[in-house]
Amino acid sequence: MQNPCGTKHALEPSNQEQSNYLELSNHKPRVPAVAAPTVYWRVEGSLLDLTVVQPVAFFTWNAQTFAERFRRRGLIFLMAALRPFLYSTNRKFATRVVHTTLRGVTRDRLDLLGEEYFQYRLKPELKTHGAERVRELVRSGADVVLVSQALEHVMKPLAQHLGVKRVVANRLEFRDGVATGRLLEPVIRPRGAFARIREQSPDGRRAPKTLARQLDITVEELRAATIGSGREPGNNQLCILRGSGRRRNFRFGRLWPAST
Amino acid sequence: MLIGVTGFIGKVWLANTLMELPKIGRIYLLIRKQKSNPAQQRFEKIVEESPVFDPLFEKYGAGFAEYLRDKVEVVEGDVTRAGLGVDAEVAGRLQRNLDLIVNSSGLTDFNPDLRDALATNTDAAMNILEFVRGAEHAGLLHLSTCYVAGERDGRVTEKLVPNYTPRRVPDFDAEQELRSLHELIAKAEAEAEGAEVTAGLKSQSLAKEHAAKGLQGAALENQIRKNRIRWLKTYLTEAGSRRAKELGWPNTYTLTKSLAESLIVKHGAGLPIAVVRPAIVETSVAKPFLGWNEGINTSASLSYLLGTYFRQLPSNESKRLDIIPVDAVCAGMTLIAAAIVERRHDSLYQLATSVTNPCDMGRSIELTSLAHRKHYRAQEGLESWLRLRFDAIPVSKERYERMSAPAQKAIVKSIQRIMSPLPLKKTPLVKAERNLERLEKLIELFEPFILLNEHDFAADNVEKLSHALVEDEREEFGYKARLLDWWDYWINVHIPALRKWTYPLIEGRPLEARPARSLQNGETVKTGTNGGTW
Repeated sequence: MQNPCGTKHALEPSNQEQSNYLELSNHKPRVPAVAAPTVYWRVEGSLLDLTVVQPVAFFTWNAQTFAERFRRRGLIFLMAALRPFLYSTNRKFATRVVHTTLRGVTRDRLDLLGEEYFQYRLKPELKTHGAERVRELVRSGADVVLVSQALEHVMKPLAQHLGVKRVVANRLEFRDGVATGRLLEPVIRPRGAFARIREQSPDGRRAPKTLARQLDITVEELRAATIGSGREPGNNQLCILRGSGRRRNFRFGRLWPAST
Repeated sequence: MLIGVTGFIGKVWLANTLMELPKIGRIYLLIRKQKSNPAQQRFEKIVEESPVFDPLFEKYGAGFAEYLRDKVEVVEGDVTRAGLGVDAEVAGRLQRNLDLIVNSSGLTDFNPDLRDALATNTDAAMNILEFVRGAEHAGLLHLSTCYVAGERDGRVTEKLVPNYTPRRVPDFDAEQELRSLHELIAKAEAEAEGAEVTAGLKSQSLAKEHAAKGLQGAALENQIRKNRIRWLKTYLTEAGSRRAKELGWPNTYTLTKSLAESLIVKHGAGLPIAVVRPAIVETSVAKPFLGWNEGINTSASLSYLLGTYFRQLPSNESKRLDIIPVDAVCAGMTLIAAAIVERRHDSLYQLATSVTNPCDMGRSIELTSLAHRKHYRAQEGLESWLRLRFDAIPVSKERYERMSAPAQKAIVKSIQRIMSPLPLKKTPLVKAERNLERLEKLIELFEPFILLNEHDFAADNVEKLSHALVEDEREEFGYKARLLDWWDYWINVHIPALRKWTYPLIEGRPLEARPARSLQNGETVKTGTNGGTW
């Protein structure tokens, strides 16, 4: 498979898909048109025992500067202390709060760390029965959509690993390639308190209605939240007016295509 | 005819052209003889050894030599000499037949000996121009660099300015400047032979600290001669660099390239000429294959540095590091070449990304660190574990001086001073001091690219050519720098390519061994104008 700059990577989507994403650079990637029946597959329980906090903690601990790492890790500890209360009050809100610690982290870093987190942390823990079932479904021609409370940066490498082309995952808002700390709607909330006991089956399939109810969103919102599993190209800035003054550069403004 | 096939861009352009345009009539390659190594042999060696030609070898197999015989002819010559140093008979034939001359030759060292820089970058351009003037219908594609813009800020448009200087020196005349630089060289050469310098060199040769102390007679003369060569080289290197800075260029390379442009504007009026300015030319993304790079180029040293424990790079975060893959440059060159042949060309083309697909210094530094991180994460051992935790960060020059190499050097010097009274055999931390000095010099050399001046190089003209292609041809011949995904490029293409092709050279290690191949295959194929055979 080849991406627009001609590079070949096993984890990349096909040419056609990639060109679809390119057309909407920095916008939500266009979902490839698929005729096969859609199967929504909940990742947590069937493929991984994933919490919201673990990947976020990993991201924060690998921030660019040492100072940032300690500051963000401090925030994570604070979140951990508050989390039981927040989680029991409102799971969506709790998820939003955790992700605020990623404010200021670049998309570039999250993409790489997401890949790394999957490769070195999640992949060895992938549940083989569940993974095999997903692969079977993909082989049978079903349009599998992985659904997870984790960030898209972690879910996309998982989807690519399993040959899945679409995911529903939490997505951060980016401005100029930097996370604002806000999660985009719909926020995929974690499962309920007893899900670990009730939902341990290797079969992660969920009917759209059931899944939508579990996520506290509508089926339409669920469909609209589906994104491709390929990486979005980076943040191209378009400078609209620029010049140089006597002593230093000045810039009237830059136009950033919204990366949401 | 291609001039400069031994260079990075020249080789890739030749390989890509032979690959993509098998119906091309004939490509002449002007190659200089190197001491006892004739042009023909130099080319043979390149074809046999350079990975650039791997795809061609794969495609044509044993028939590659035959294909080369059909398409390529080596011409021995020297662009620094009048008439390109080619036999009159060969020159006549070339001037009758040539459609286009692609001049990708140049001395890309930032601060070389002024004599070499002028000969290769400026005088050569004039010689080629004269050759084009004598040709029946040949056009000229002259490769320059975007960085002739020098010390100025803002958007650099695709317009050739005659007698340009970044400092807008009034009444500057490129021709007069070239003359005065040649006079400076002549004066320096005379001075080097003079009594005063000779006396100085003699005392230097006999000096106590000199390795060749106690010399006499011919050995002493020989040593003085060597020292004279070194003295002259240093003098002219410094003189060139000083003059470039006076006029607003960061180094001798850009000064001499800009002079060539100005002279082309002046003397090339009416001739079919296009000046092509690529930005920082780096790793390929598709052709000749994914991830080809060669030699220690602009970003290699810096990116290597960012893979070590060095963290604080003085840079302007919002400055755009204008990198462009070599295959994008070659695709642009092919489009421009076609435009010149059809006489539909513009006078100047910039092949750059800072306007159409910008990647600023802040992002470039982070992507470089992330690319190193990906590599070190896949390795085992404490060294890798530690290194992946040292992300480089862009800092101001003040912070760099306060906290990085200069400050560390000051600490080292203090330690040496404190320990000087001790009866030690060697001065402590000499190696560390030397490394820090080298680091400081490297940073200083690259400041124009990472810290000073914010250039945005417009690249509209080549986009227009690409857009004018019919749909079927756009995929293969289009100019696609706009579509580059920098994340993918830095992390999966560029830094891994540098790690393979360039970092070993920086570390003094040999490149990865490759299976030997030969063009011979039992047959001798004559391709050279001067009787060279394969």
